[in-house]
Amino acid sequence: MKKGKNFRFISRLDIKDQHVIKSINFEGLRKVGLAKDFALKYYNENIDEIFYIDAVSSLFNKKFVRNFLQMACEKIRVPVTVGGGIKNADQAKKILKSGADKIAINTAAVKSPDLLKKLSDLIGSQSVVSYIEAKKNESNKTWEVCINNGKENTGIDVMRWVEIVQKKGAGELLVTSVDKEGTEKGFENDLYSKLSKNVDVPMIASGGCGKIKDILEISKNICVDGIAISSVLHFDKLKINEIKKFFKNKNFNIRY
Amino acid sequence: MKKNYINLIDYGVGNIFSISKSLEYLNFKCNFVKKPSDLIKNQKIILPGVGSFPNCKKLLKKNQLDEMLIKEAKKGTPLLGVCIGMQLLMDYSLEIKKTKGLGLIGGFAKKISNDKINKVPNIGWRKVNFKKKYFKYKKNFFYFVHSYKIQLDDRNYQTGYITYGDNTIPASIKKDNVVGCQFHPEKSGIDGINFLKNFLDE
Repeated sequence: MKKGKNFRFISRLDIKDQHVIKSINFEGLRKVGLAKDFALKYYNENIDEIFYIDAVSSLFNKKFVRNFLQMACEKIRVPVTVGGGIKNADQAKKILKSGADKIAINTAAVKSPDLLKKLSDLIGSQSVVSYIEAKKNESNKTWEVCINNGKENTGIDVMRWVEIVQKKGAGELLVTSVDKEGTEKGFENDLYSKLSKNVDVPMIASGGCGKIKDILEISKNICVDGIAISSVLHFDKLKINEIKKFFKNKNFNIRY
Repeated sequence: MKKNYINLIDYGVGNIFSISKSLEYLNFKCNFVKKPSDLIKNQKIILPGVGSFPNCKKLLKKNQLDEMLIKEAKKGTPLLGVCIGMQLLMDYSLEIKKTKGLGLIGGFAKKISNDKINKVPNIGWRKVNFKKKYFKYKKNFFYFVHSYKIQLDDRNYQTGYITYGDNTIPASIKKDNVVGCQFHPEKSGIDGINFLKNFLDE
């Protein structure tokens, strides 16, 4: 077995009702199409995983779960993670029952970190993703945790926060740079380098992917296990197989 | 075509929606088994499992499904354990506290040893090395998500494995009518479907 690095390519779908939306730095939502069509398209194009992040927290709406989530998961035979507005264990269980494999939690975990512990005991830490929105504080060169889709800065130091969420049982981290999100100007590489000292569970980087060279740069960080990308796929700037072929030739262990 | 039935053990853990949809796609009808009397005799059984080993075992026992599974397996009914469902086929697991399994295949489950690159849980697509006579798939990449791995008393029952850092992890096992896979076939694209088909057609 060859020794290359494992790396995952995840399609991140920010959704509002049934639509995929796209924003820049979480501002100015723009509808780009139906979520189920996008998910199926990326599945057929060989994506490794799908992340649904609900921008308007409709996930615990019964109709949403029945009409959207079950349909969205039925034909997609790759792992699905769902986040956005999950507040308690009951909602998490319902989402998993509808076909999702993992739930991603941000705001509710910041308000009550014990929720992560409760969830990981209940559904297993492998199904609990700590979703972190990190915003750079230019004055002291640290990153701070944001909630509510990047709108509210809690002032919590991201380096300290990742230690807490791992201790509480998060089995995976999805870390988005609020400053890079939607810009297509490259990942926030410094953030992930700094995080690598504090992270022992799989970490997915998101925000800023524009070109293959951006992915190559972030993939050099041994602590980043994959990337979640959105606009470059939505607007056909990069193709999944084109990215995968490039990394396959670079001796990565990827599903191609 | 009349649909065949498959017994899917439904004991309240994890995502059985996806595996049931995969089985329906393969023209099987799922019979959800919540208690022993739900079982359709002479039909194959799938035992899924997500979460922790002790919790899965507790729930199986609560509904007396553990005894039923042992009885059926010994009778020769084909049984497929998926993920923790596979680990449950072993004698015991060391997850959280030492907990007895179904004892259908000799061995136990223990924690994967990790390093900075190969983290635990082991999450993602891994290339499985299968024994040639068993399977032939397109890509051989399957989706794994687990923190514990099994160790078999007799390696001859291993039909496929992955390497992960310093670990050699059994990915699929088979002893007569009892089969298991550590990966999630219902989340492994077309190869996963073919793995399930293999078990259903056999």
